Amino acid sequence: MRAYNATTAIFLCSILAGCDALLEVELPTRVPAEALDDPAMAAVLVGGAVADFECAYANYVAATALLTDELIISTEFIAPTSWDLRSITADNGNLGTAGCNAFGFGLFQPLSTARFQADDAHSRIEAFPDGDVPGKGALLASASAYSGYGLTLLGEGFCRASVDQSAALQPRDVLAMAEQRFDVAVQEAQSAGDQDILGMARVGRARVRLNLGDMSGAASDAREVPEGFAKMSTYSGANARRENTLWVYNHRDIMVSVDPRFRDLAVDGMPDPRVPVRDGGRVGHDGLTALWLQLKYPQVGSPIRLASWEEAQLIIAEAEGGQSAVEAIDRVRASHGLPPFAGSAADEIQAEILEARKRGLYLEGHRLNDMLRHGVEFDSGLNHKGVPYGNTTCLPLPEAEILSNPNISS
Amino acid sequence: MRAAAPGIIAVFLLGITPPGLDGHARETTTDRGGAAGIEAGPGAFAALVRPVRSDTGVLRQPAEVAGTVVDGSSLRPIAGAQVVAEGTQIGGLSDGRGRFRLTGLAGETVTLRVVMLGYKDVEQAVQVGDLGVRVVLQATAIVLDQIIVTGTPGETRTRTIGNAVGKLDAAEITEVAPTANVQDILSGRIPGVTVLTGQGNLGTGGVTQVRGLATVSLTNEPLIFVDGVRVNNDPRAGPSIRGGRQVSRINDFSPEDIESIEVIKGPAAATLYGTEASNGVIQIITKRGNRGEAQFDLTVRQGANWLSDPGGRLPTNYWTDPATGQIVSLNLFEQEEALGDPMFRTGMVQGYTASLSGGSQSFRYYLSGQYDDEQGIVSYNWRKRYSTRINLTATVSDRLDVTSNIGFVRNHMRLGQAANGWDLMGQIHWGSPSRARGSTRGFLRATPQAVATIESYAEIDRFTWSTNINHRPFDWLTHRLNVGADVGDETNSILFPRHPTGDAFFFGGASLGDKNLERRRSTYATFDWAATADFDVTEGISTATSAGFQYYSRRFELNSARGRVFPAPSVTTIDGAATTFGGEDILENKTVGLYVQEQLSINDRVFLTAAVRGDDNSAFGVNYDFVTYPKFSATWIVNEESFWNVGWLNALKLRSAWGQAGQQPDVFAAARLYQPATGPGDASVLTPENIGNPDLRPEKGQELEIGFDAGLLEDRIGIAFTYYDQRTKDAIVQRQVSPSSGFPGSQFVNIGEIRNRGFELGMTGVLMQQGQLGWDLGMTFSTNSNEVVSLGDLSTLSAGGLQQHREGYPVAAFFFKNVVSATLDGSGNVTESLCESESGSPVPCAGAPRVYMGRPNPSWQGNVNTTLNLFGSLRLFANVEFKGGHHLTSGDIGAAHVLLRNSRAVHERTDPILMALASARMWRESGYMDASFAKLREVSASYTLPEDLVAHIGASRTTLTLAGRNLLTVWQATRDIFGREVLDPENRLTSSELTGYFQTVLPQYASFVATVRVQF
Repeated sequence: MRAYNATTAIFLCSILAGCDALLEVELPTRVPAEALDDPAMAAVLVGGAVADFECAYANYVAATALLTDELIISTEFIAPTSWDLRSITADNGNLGTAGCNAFGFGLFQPLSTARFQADDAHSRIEAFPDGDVPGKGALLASASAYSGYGLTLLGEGFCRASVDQSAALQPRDVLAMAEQRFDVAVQEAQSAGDQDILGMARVGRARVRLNLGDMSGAASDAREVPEGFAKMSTYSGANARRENTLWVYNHRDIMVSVDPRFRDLAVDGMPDPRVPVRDGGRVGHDGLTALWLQLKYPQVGSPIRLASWEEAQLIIAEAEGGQSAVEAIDRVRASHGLPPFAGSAADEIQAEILEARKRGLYLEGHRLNDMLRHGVEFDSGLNHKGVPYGNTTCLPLPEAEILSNPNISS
Repeated sequence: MRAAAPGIIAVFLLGITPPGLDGHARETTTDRGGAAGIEAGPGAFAALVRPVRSDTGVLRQPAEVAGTVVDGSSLRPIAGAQVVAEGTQIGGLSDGRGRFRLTGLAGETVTLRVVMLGYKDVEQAVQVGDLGVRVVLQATAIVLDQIIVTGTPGETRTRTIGNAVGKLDAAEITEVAPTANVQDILSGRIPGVTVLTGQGNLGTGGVTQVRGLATVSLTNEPLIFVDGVRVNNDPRAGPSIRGGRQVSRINDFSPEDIESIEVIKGPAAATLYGTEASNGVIQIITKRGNRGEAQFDLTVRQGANWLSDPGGRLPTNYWTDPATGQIVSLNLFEQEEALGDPMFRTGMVQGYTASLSGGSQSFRYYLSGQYDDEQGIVSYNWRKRYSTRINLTATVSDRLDVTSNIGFVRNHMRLGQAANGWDLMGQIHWGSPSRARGSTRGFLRATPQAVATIESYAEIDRFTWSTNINHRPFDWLTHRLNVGADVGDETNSILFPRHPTGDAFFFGGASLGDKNLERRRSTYATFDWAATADFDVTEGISTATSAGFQYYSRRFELNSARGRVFPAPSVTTIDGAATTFGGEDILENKTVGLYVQEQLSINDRVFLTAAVRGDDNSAFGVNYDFVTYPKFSATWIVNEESFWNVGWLNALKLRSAWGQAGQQPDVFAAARLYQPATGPGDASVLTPENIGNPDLRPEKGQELEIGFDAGLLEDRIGIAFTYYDQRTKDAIVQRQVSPSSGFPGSQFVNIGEIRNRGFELGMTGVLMQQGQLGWDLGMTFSTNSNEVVSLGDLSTLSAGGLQQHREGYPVAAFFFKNVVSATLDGSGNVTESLCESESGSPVPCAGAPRVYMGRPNPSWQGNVNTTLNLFGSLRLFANVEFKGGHHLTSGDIGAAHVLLRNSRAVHERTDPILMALASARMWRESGYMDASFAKLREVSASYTLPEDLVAHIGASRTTLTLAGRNLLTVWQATRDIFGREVLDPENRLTSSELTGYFQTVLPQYASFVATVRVQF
């Protein structure tokens, strides 16, 4: 019987081997990885990296706004509520594996995908002959800068992070990697003469250096940022991935509301234009929470600021302190039509820097890092619906990464 | 007039399928040519009921006999029964109405011998001239020569098959039980076949599993063939509502058009079906015309669907008023009833079927048309199904016949559970007295009237075609060709119409207008050729050599569109929206397979079979070429041996089979792929989609099954017993891709092994048979032991929520911290909580591990059914179905206790375990329950009107059936969880076959249907 089956198997194999033509299938909606090794794909590669970052960035801003004091939850749905309740554990699916347009915000995966896309685009484009890729230098600079920002958010938000299946890294290690990317981005942008990416990379490097305690380096980069500079993360109503998440959850789905601490803020009696909000005049999705609308992103396609002269000024203020800080604060205030800062004591200046960052960078993804850096207390006890808070501050390394990464022992 | 039964036999009568539900009315191949004087048809029959006046004017009885052959259990006419006047050459076959007429007889009396496959032979003495003879045939307990579908050409008799095959006479089931769809027919009737129907959302279906869960990452759904061609078996179609897509494509087919259903269970049986068949195969055989005059059947169904005892089952919600400290309650059902606007209704059921069938020696036909209009238990839930079928069979010659089967169905439904988060049950379960004064009147976020404005539609136009050509060029050679296609055009949509008040209405931004539209075309194509050559080697020894070639392809083309913000309430098209999105996707899969099989027959009593199949599939990795699946089986008809001398055991077939079948990976799982996305400036870019695995190969299901079929006590008891041991080798596991690598999702890898073991028992028999009284009883019972043997280098794999795949435990088992004790202070706050440790001893919950708690799918199931026949015309039927050994998590109840905090117990704060769960926000755990149950699934009374009465309207047979479905839950293991009543133990989300979680689904409804069937 064995010999019989062997013969039969050989017979079947020989016939089936010739059936490949019958098994050809169409693949019109997907692209095999091999097709990316084509210089003609260079712009698409970088575009993909930017798109993935922008989607991840909006998620990061929204999720950490709930985790901190920028927004409160106004739905009973568990996924977004967990952020508000500071109940983000390592096994939380949104934290670890959810995609960037997942309900309740994906975080580690989208940021990692954005980082990978940027690094992958960089390495592929670098290998293409110069003459085959129009604007190669600018594309490389852009890829480096966005990789740097992906790493920056991983380093700022997570207690530990892994990059490309590395061992679990401390935030400083991740931020150091970000700084390296920005170093390259600055060089490449300068070579390409791309002022937009150059400004973005300089603000990014200043931000990272501030985190790493390199105050002079941070201030040096920040001073190079031209007045009025702003690098925007762009959004549109083209599809769910491109939507401004903050508008979606606040205006359209009414699942988040402005935290009371950011309502009706003023400076010396003047309404503070840095935190534009209004009473929505209704309750949110949960039927209980008063809905307050942020007006910084009033449309589905409103861009979110990623890097700016205002942030650079506040970095200068924090890095240099003293009169230099006051001058920087006043420059920012003036740009908003606000009166100058009246304080002069060091602690007053330090508090004003933090307040200026809180207001000026509202809903721009800085608040979590600021609270962690400055030891600002997170909410505890019961939330506005009487539900107890958890104890999340920085975000844990996701369990999905721990279990799947061969360089991390669980 | 019936063959007298020798007294009362008060024993259980056992069989492969429930009593009376076997397919016995199959046409025989008996040559009618020698049957002198056979006539059929209503005209001829009616005319001959009258005496004939002779030439001399003297009345005399005609020299002929006529009558009807009926099934003793179902009382249905039997077509194709051979009726012979003993001692003569006069005989013939009964026609589609079961009628026969023998002419040219002589003498005063004659003894009729009636023979039909699957029935005991009957000899009955009748008066010559009696034109109203009624011959009642009793089914044999086991049918060794029943013809079944196996994948090889020619007629395969059950005696040659080494594995168990479940067969249902669908035509009979639909006559006695209120079966709205195919899954209603399948549920509980075949040992080892599990149908998990989750809810009372009319239009949604369930999942079908055969012999447990055999895979952790691929589908567990069996393949479905209709008249020999593969069809769409997707159980997760329709729009994406709460919990996902829940429309099951198997339920598109009209039960009224189905003659029989055969289930080929595990890999040992399904080897010849190859890749994709390791979950078993369901063969649906539609009705054919019988030889004889045209027969017109008209069926009218009228009935109702309703929610049983909503007042007693729907929850009362609680809240502690902070002003008074008092616990306040609100029963939303009672509130709405008092307001005169009930949330639930009694939905009307109506259905009309007309069919025309008949044929001649060379041509047979079956034509049908059907309209079903069914309403669910909420005002906006309905289904309208229009179907038509044309089945034609041409016998071109003695050696060639061609059958063409064409079916079309238009199945349009509006679902009763509309959109994620905005369903009725969610508003009820999680409402609160704290909201009673608000616009929601105490409902969670929206009133029932608001929810009713959301429109969720699932529509399909489906065309199924097959042509079967059977050719016997030589006496020793048979070959056949099956070609066909199943093409379905689905339209799914969810619409939030713009409300006049805009986003001030309950749904916020969606109240400005929001529509999701999907159009999906699925195309399944089949080309299946096979041949069998029979040889007589020596006297008593013969062989049958078979070979076949199959080609299957599946293609899905999806177009989707979404529009948001409409300018006015009347605008509901995507074009009219301010923002529009579009999408398109195409998925394709193809399989090519070959097989050879050799069967050795020894004295037609011992059969040895060996086969091997080879497949290649477009989803295999580039480093993997093809797969082969071997099989072996043996059967022995012991009772036909000369030495057999066990009188009480009149039939015994021993059988065993070992074989393999496979399941291919997901369509593009092997390839590393990027997908298009929108980038800055709305430019088109790419984003990683799938990391791929070039070494990916199919899972291999390998199974050994052994068993026997036995007939006892002169064939009054039938037993079918099977033990199976099935292993899924190279099980495909979705290993999480390290998120930091950049690729999302998981990688399909062949590293797992799953084991399923169990036994299946089917019993049928006659408790009593005396004169006009007959009482049948049957039951099925099956067990399933399911285990993840290996996950390769992974010891644990998340299956979502509380469920995990772990080596040594069932697939998707529940693991969580099990709170065993807690201590409360005077205010109900938890001061200490202890959980179960791995060793079973209590440990503080903070550091306690997740421990095994149970499995989500039944480990035992079956049914008990009984049929009582009275007076030869009244049939009473009842069927109790049970499932058990499984657990579920009720999100309704868990969230009520912990997240929404509207249960009485959580406000009373006296239950230490609940308070420990609530304080740790263990909400899923707070809804965990043993979901075992037994339900009175079907009960009916059928009355066959006297023939002389129905003859007045020109009918030959008319039956009236009053039938109920889901009228009573006989038993449920869990009635409440911490005082919150379990609405329905069968509730579950069927959008995932592994999940043991559900929330906010409509509970199953009860049905009553009155059916009139008239045969002309």
